[in-house]
Amino acid sequence: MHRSKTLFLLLSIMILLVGGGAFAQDDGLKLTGWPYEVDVVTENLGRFTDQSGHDAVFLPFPSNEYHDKMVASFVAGTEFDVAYVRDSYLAEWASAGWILPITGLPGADELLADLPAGIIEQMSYDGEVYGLPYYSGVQTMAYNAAHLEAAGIEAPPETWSEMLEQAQMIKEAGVVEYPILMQLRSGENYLLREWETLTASRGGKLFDDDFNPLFHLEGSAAWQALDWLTEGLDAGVIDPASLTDDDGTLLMAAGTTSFMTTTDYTLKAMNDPEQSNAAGSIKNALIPGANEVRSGTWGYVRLYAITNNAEDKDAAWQLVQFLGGKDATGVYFVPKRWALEFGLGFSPAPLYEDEEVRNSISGWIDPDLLSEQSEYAISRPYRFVPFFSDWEIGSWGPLQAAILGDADKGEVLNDLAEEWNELKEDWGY
Amino acid sequence: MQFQRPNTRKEPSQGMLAILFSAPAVLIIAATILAPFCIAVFLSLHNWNLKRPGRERFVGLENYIDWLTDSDFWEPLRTTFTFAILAVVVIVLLSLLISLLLNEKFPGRGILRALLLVPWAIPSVVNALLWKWLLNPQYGLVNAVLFELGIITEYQNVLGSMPSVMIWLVIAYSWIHIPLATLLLLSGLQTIPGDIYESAIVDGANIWGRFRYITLPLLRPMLSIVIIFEMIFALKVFDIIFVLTAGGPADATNVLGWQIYTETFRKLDFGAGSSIAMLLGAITLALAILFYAILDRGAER
Repeated sequence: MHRSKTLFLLLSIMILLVGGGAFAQDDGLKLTGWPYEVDVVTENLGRFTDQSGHDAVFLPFPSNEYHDKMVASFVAGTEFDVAYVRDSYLAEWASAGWILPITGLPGADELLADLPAGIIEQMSYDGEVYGLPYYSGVQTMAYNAAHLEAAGIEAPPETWSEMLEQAQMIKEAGVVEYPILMQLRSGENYLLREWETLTASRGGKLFDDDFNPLFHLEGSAAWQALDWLTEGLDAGVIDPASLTDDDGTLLMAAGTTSFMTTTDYTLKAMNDPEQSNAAGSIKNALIPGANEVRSGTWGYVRLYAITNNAEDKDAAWQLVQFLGGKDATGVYFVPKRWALEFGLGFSPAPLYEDEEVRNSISGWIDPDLLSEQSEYAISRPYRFVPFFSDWEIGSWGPLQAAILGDADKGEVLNDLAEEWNELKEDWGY
Repeated sequence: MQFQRPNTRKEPSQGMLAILFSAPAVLIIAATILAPFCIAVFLSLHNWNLKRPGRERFVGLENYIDWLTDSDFWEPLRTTFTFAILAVVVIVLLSLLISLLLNEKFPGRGILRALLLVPWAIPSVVNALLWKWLLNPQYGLVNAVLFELGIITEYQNVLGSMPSVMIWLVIAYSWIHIPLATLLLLSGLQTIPGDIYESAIVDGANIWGRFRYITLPLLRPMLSIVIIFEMIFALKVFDIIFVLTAGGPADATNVLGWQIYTETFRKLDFGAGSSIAMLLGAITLALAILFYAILDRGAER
């Protein structure tokens, strides 16, 4: 009898656990992403629930592990309905069938009509659009105006060699030890992006439009960019922490860095007195150029996409429209909120005309300079081939070695070009 | 008079009971160790890239051959051994010194023994994050202390170049591993009877002689365990690399654990990742057996 009771108890617990798990699966739409302003996301989802009647929860993964955790989730079949996607791995996820195209879905054309062609291109793979933008923008330059003033410099640099000269002056004036911070760490958000900026601003690209490497050609803009980094590190004006640090924004906010290239929205935090010692001194400038070339840069987009595992795909599409497009009242509620309260870049054309948005931005960034900067943005179609991330991962170590002078630049670049060509052939491009 | 019904139920045999009682443990081990191991072996024999669904195929030993003929295996292997040898030497030597000290009687010994456990109680990723702050080239405590002491004239990015990055990785790694090794060695020291030392003192043996001819031989079994354990841990190091260097700078800290992670979870090539994991497992196992045989033979002598 006693044994039966124990068995019954165990079975009951198991049923409760399994049942609980089943009920837990049924708590509405699941949005996943990286944990930026979780409370705000949750509030936004509350508004979505009020308007649509669909419950929705936000279940984020740490930003630097997001890609890996999501891949594991996709493979395991975890039922997220909507996910944040970085354009850098859009092709990978789309080609694997983990996210679904929105082309042709009800209302999609109307929302896409409000977006610039460049943004649509960055959200596309193989002719299909895979979501609506969470935020977007361009890489720009941030500088500490107080540092320049203290070193007797009147205006930010217009060329990269001028930047090295100004940095030397700042260092010699004892303002900071290492005036320039470049993001050269291994990782998706660092080294390659910095190299692309330095290359674009010299009028070059890493690959041509047929995905053939250009970076290994002697004297190419990409090659010059690596030479410039080596020169800056050797001169002691580029912070050696550039190779290891994962958040340059903090150093800029701490007032220990004079120049860095950064995504436009980070200037809001850098100029927020509650988050930054250097608030008010951080200005945006056009990214320096070289000779005749002026300020080349690149744009980026983060998007909301419907996952292949979404149980109710219609409801998931409603959520994507609410987050990246218009809410039930017909306004770009979520994109506008991100822009007003957090300075995140936006893409829908109507928001550019919104007086409230324009006034808000000008408090921490020069919108005219930012607008000019975005005119110099180049497209990077090579990023949207599915083998790009494989090549990128393998490039970090050799590129760092070339920058540090531990390996011959020519050999490294030729090897990387060869690896790219092998991958290209293997994938049938 | 009432007759009791004979008990017809058969008592389970000893063997059956043993199977029944060990079944849950066996099931858990099978589910958490054996099954993943078998899946990893299966994947290692296949071309299995998640980015290329529908193209999975059996390739036999091709993945293994590719690795064994590729510098992307041998370079990380060399880095792994460099790290492991340095780490094991530091851990074993320091643990031995600390355990000898804590085996002596002195006031506050109990508190010191308790404090010893603190680093061990810290999760290894938290330990790595802690060292990341300590070593920060702009505001790190290590730089501040070295600067104030006049050892350095400007703040250094010790994680930005070789050999400093390897040295500090070993220090950060050892800091969390020394407590367990010390604890094991201390337990070994406490099994050595005190009267052996007393006899040696009477015979005129000095402190080095007592250590050389009594402590070390009698501690050898525990020392073997510590060396084997620490070598296994160090060969599969990952978390501290993940947090502190991401394999950099310029692949200087790209150990096999990091290479496995990169292949499997960044490139999503589960076939390549599993095969390199199998190779690392085989190397670790072979070394453990070799060490055990050497140390065991020494103990017998």
